[in-house]
Parts: sequence; C-alpha cells; structure tokens
Amino acid sequence: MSAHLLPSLCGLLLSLALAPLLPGVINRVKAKMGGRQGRPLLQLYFDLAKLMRKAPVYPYASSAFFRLPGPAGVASGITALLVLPFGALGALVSFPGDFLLLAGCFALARFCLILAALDTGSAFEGMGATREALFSALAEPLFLFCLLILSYHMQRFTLSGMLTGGLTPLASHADWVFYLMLACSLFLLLLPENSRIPADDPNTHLELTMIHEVMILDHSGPDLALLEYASALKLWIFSLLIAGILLPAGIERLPAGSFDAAGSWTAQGISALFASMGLNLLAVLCIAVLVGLVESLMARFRMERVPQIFTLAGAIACLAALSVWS
Amino acid sequence: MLPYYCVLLLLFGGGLISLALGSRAASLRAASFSMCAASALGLAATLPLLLDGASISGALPLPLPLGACSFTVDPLSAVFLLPVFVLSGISGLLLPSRMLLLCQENPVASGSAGNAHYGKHGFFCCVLSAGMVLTLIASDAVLFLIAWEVMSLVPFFLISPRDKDAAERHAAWMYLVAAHLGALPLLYLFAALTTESGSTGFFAFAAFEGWRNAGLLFLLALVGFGTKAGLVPLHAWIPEAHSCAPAHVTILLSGAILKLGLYGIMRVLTLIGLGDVWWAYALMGAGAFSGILAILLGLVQPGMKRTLAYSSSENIGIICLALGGAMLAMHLQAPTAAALLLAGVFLHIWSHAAFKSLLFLGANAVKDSTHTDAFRLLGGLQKRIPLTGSCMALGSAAIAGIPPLNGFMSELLIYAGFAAGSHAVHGREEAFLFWGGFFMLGAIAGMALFAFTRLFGLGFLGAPRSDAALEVREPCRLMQGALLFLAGLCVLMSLCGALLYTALTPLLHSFARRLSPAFFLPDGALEFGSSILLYYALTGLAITALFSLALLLRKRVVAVNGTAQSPTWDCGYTAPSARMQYSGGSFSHSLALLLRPLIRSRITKPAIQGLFPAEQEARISTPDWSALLWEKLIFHPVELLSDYAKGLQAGLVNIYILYIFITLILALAWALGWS
Repeated sequence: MSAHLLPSLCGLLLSLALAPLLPGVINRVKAKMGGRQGRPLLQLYFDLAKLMRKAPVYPYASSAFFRLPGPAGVASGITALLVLPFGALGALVSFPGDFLLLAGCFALARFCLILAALDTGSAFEGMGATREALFSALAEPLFLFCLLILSYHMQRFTLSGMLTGGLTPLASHADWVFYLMLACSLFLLLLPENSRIPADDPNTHLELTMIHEVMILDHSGPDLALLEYASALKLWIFSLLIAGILLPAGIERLPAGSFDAAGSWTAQGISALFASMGLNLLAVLCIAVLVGLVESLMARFRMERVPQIFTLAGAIACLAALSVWS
Repeated sequence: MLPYYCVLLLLFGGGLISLALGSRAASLRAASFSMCAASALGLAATLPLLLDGASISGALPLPLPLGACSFTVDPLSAVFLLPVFVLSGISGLLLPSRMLLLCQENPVASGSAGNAHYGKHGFFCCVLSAGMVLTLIASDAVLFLIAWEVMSLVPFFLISPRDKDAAERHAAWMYLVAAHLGALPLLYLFAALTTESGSTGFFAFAAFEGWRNAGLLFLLALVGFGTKAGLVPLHAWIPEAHSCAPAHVTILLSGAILKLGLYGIMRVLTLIGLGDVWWAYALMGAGAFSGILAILLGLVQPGMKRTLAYSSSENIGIICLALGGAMLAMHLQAPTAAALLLAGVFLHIWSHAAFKSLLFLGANAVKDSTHTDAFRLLGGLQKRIPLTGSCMALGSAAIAGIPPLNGFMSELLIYAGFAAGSHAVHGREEAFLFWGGFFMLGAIAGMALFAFTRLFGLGFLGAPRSDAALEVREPCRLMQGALLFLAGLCVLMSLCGALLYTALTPLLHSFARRLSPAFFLPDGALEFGSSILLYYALTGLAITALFSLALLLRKRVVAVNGTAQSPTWDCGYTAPSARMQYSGGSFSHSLALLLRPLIRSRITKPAIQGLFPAEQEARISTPDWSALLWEKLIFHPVELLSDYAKGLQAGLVNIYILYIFITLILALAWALGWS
C-alpha cells in the first residue's frame, strides 16, 4: 500500500505545481498562430508571485463572501485532484461514487464565485454571475452523464477504476469510438467550463462579452492570485480527465513485474510508472495545445449561441452511450 | 404506545387550555409548552424505536362508528415522526414571540380584539401537531382518514392568523380547496381497500392479496397524497400558503406536512405491494416532471419565500424520482441500487426538513424587519445581519447540493443508486431509465444552484436596493437560536451520514420486504451506501480543512500587504448606484428566455415612438402556467356552470312549483315506462 501512496502523492504534487503551466502553453500557441513571440511560458507563475505581494482592494459594498471564492476554488480543486488519478496508479483517495464528488467540487467553487460576484454590487459582475450560473446549470448534468457512461462501460464506481483499471481499448476495436466520442464531449464541456473561446474570451477587454473574467473584475492581490490558480487547477483537472480517458489503458496499467515479492518497486515497475506519468503529462499538454488551436482558429460565439455547444456535447455523449449500451 | 398517547393528550390538552385562556398571552405560552413537551417526549419515544427497527401497536376502546382506534408505530412512521417532532418543537418554541410580533405589527389587530386570536391560534397549532402525529401512527383506514382531515383542515386557520390581509385570505382559501380536492381520491382509495379486504385495519390490508384494480388504487394514492406533497401540477396551493403563513407555521407546512404526503404514498405501497413496473415509471416521471418544472418556476419568482416554496415541490420531486427508481430496481432485482435509492429517499426527507425550515425561518426573519421579501428591494443584508445571513448561506449551499453539506449527501446516494442500477441491468433497455433518472437529478441540481445563488446573492449580498433593506435587524434571540440549531443540524447530518444510514438499515430491510416479499437486501448491498457516506464525511472534512488553510494563508498574506477600499469597477463608470445591480428578474431573464417553453414568462414591452418618447413601462411576469391550467380546465368551466345554474334559483315560488311539477311528470313517466 505504501508503495502506491508515494507515487500517487507525487502525482498530486506534480499536478499542483504544473497546473499554471497550461494557460502559458495556450497563450504561447495562440501567439505562434498569430505570428507573435508571445508571453513567456511561465508567465502565470510570475503573475501569481507578483499578485501575492500586492494589497487587495475591496469594493465598498462587499462583505466576507467577497473573499471566499479564491480559497474555495483552491480547496475544491485540490479535493478533486485527491480522487483523480495521475498516471498508472490510482488516485490518493478512491471510494465508490467519487466521480460524483468531482462535479460537487466544481459546484462548490462556482457557488462561492457567483456569490462573490454578486457581492460587489456591480452591474457587470451580476451579468457575469447570471451567465456563469446559466451555463454551468446546463453543463453540470452533461458532465455527470459523461462520467456515468464511463462508469457504466467500465463497470466501476471509482474514478481510479474507471481511468486506470479497465479493459484495454486497443484490444477490442469497437471501443475506441466510445473513448474518442466521450473525450470529444468532455472537451466540448471543457471550453465553456474553463471560459475559453468559443464560449468566453479570457483576453477580451469588453466587460459586456465576458463570463468568468467579468466576475473577478474587482478581485485583486492575493484574492486574484488564488482565483487564477484555482481556474488553472480546473483546466488541469479537465485535461487530466480527458487524457486519462484517451490514453489506452494498456499503457496506463503497470506491467506484471512491477513489484517484487515484498511488494516494493522493481526497476521495471519504476520505469513503467515514469513512462505512464510522462505520457499523461504529454497528453495534458497536447490538450492545452488543442485548446490554443481552437482559440486561434475560431471566433467567440454570440451569447445566445453558447448553449449550442452543450447541445453538441450532449449529442456526442448520447452517441457514445449508445455505442457501449449493450 | 403509552408515550404516544401521552403526546396526543398533551397536545390536545394544551390546545384546549390555550383556547380556554383565550385572549391572554398565557394561552400562547400554554400551547408552546405543550408542543415542546410533546416533542421532547415523542422524540425520546421514537428514537429507540427507529434504532431497533421495532414496531409497537396498541388500541384504544373508543367507539368509532366505523373501524377501530388502533395505532402502530413502525420504522416507516418513525422516520417521518422525527422531523414532525423536531419541527413542532421548534414551532412551539417560536409560537409566543412570533404571534406577539404579528399582532403588534398590525395596529388594527392589537388591543383587545386582536388578542382574541391568541387562544385560537395556539389551539390550532397544537391540533395540527396532534393531527400529524395521529396520521403517522394510525393503523386503521377510518382513523387515518379522520386524522388526515384534521391535519389537512387545521392549517387553513393558521395560514392567516390575523385574518386581515387579502393575499393571506386568498392563500388560505386556495389551501382549503386543494386540501378538499386532494382528500376526495383518498376517500375512494380507502373505501376500495376496505370493501375488497373486508376490514378497515392496515394489517388486514397488508395481509390481503390479489387486489383487483391495484393500478387504479396506486393512481388514486399518487393523486390524493401527491396533492398534499405538492407534486407539480398539483402544487398550486404551495406557493400561496407557504409564502403567506407566519414563520412557525411555514416550517410545519414545508418541513412536515408535505412529507406526510410522501408518507401516504409509501404507506399505501407497503399495503398493496410493489405492483406493476409501470408504477415505478409513473413515480419517476411524476418526480422528474415535478422537480424540473418546480425549480424552473421557482427561479423566476420575485421573492424569497415563493422561491423557497417552489423549491419544496422540487425536492419532493427528487424524492419521488428516487422512490420510483428504487421500485424499478426492485423489479429488476438490483439490490444495491434499491438500497442506495431508498436510503437516499429517507435521508433526503430528513435533509430537506432541516435546510428548508432553516431557509424559511431566515426569510421570515428578514421579512419581519423589512416587511418585504422581494429581491428588487433587498440586498446588502449580510453586512447588517451577519448571523441570519450566514445561516441562510449555509442553508442555500445545502439545498443547492454543495459538497460538504447534507443536501449533496442524500443526492450523492441517489446518483450512486441510479448509476448502480444501470450497472446491474447492463445491456438492457432499462439502463436508459436509470440514466434518465441520473440525468434529471443532475439537471435539477444544476438549476437549484442557479436558484439559490440567486436567492442568497440578490437578497443578502451587494448594496441595499431600497430603504426597506436598510431597516433590517437580527431577529429575536429565540429565532437566532432556532436558526443556529437548524444550521448545526445540517452540518451534523453531513458529518454523521454513515450513522444515519445505520439507523435507517432496519427500515430499508422492512420496507423492501413489505413492498415485495420475494425481494431481499443482502448485507453487501447495504455496505456500499455506508462506505460512500463515510468517505463523503471524510472528504467533507478534507475540503473544510483545505478551505480553512487557504483562508488562513490568504489572511496572513493580506495582513502583511494591507488592504484598501474603492468603488466597484463598473466599466469605468464612476458613480455606480445600487439600482444598477442585477435584480431578480434580470438575473433569471437569460434562463427564462432559453427555456421559454417551460417557463413561459410574459413580457410586455413598450412601443417607443417619436423622437422624444414619453415615460414607458416594461414588465416581465411569470404566472404559474401549470397552476393556471387547472383554472382554465376545471375551475373556470365549473364557475361558468354554477353562474348559469344560479339562474335556476330565481327565488320565485311559482317557478319552484313549476320545477316540482316537471319533476313529478318526469318521475311518473319514468315509473310508467319502467314497469
């Protein structure tokens, strides 16, 4: 058991440390596509360090609820990472029904964020709050449904079991369609849930068109740093989930000789573990690149067209469900 | 049974004393004391019964014209008795201060004439509690119907204690109509049960097999008890009654009386059995429809209390959805899913009783000092009443299904139950039904988050939208205590989920066995749920610990850096005012537009003409179309018919003689033709 604990913990710490890299990757891809040099890859790290040294400014109307979303976002992100496996080994904590907790964690972060936006008393932040509440109300059942059909197909109730312990999709050819469609559906949910184009534009400077950014307009200093970090964590969680679904479980699972008779790691096991973690990391970065490509190649939708993204995601999820139904 | 007889005696006795004391304030204290004492006694008697899974019976030699005075308390009654006792205790505790406040507010009602309400009000409060207890422990059809009628009719006298306000009177009238119409199918249901089995006792019903028309009986129960439970579209009375009734009555209405409707459905199921599989479909369908529609209508309401009232219907919908799912799982021999869903049903009943009462008390506390609960007039309350605000925030989070709290706990079991059900029937069409139930619950939960961020965010956060919001004060100490107690109950329930599950285990066994003797819940199926709840409590602690750590870190950093204040950023506009904030209507407008076919908002836009248009008014309103449907289909035609029939009664003797003559001729013709 302790042989499993350490690598799982390493995976968690790695996730926490590398999450702010993803926005950097996306920005770099967008810059390259636009023919620019772009910001440094580690820009978000620098921003976070700088923000932590600044004094926050509070709007007059705000109460204690204004200060909650940052800590709530980080706490719920870490909790979600506790049950989400990174690489071949299971997650740090795994219990039946933990995939539902993932959606619950997002709900907690969102609840606090919407309240904080309404707490400023600003018309614009109210607008962001209602949009976030609306789109997340549409996204939540779909996200849960995607996880349900994965659990149905794998016949497992834990995320670790669903993502690492299942059948090898390469062995049965009918299944790859399912994994691909499921990943597609989750990717379509990733875009609006992480305020990316085509649902939301993180770089816009017009408050009328924003969702996530407009809700944190008034946050500054350490509050903003925590919020930025929490949203990077959320992007990381979505990417890691999609990577876990897409990577063939044959590579995810450790080979037979990974442990010796005493239950400790053999050299072969350690190399397999590193290989699977590296592969996962690569897949996560690839998803970030893909997000960057989508952002470079598409325009933002009009607000009333955003629900169409969810319709498409739902349709693909239904097809995926039908493909593995019997 | 002795403790329960004492409870009934205490309640009826206290009520009569209160009535006798009449206009004196002591009448309220008598009623309050008897309700609290009865609750304490009832809780002490019920808890051991629930834990043991035992049931006790007894009978009183009272001469009823039909049936017998027999009582039974089994685990199913015990589950429902708990919230009834807890809430009537709280209600009794609050009764004197609330009633004094109500009568002080209204100068017309105060003075000697106003105080006359005290005795009556105390009496009816006691009788309501007694009626609820009697309904839950009656094990005879006639006694049950009597208790049901008492319990149904008494709130009519409580909804409008001062009897001055037109809206309140309308609400009471709506309630009376709904209670009457809802009781009709029940009369028929129990008459049919009695004729077929040849006895009026519940035990005889349970032992009888081979009901003819069992499906019809089930439908009668669903409609009759569903009216009381507030399933959409039978919910028309709920928003009116819940939003008008005083705080101590509302918590009984929403926390206990609605649950009695569910009790009725479950009790009838234990009597006539699991039935056909379409019963499960019907319950799931009714639950999903009710849940979705109620929360959608709830999130466009202009005031806090109406939103809460609709959300009660939504939660009843969730419970029916899960109950239907459990019945389906039993039909398909999926014990794990059945155990999870049933446990989810009972836990959600308890959870809802706790957080909904909390929210109603908080909303009433706000209304006491501001005299409004409309979102467009409130705002910024959190800074002025931090205690009530924090309790409301906790309640909102719980009802919106936010992790460390009890709302998500019961929903987690229901989600897991639907998932387990689909696993168990892998590869069969029934998996779609479980998927559907799962998806519906997700959709309802998503909308609930929308509705309750709106409720708390617009009501308590931001800047005050009117002078009324500035006048808000913390409620009296007793009310604060009740709020804190209910908030603590929510937190405690989420931490002790596994313990509650253990307490429910005997009930799960007996309920499943009563529904279908062939069905058996193995221990493995039960362990699943308890491990989920145990881990849920642990992760809840982890979230709380991480959250506190992050808050602490933030506080440290901010202490070093210092803080500043400024106006909010309004796109560069330097004089933002409170009126520019989002209001109830604008917050839900985008959703109302998107789901137009279900919400059906009516928008009247002014036609702006000319270069200098005059002042115009735009209005968005959302009448409850599902309730209006009844008006259009039944009440309006009946009204037309009775208006027409009024003409027959002209008050002229010669016309009446003509009627008699015509009747005689017809009777003669009929008699001659028949012979």
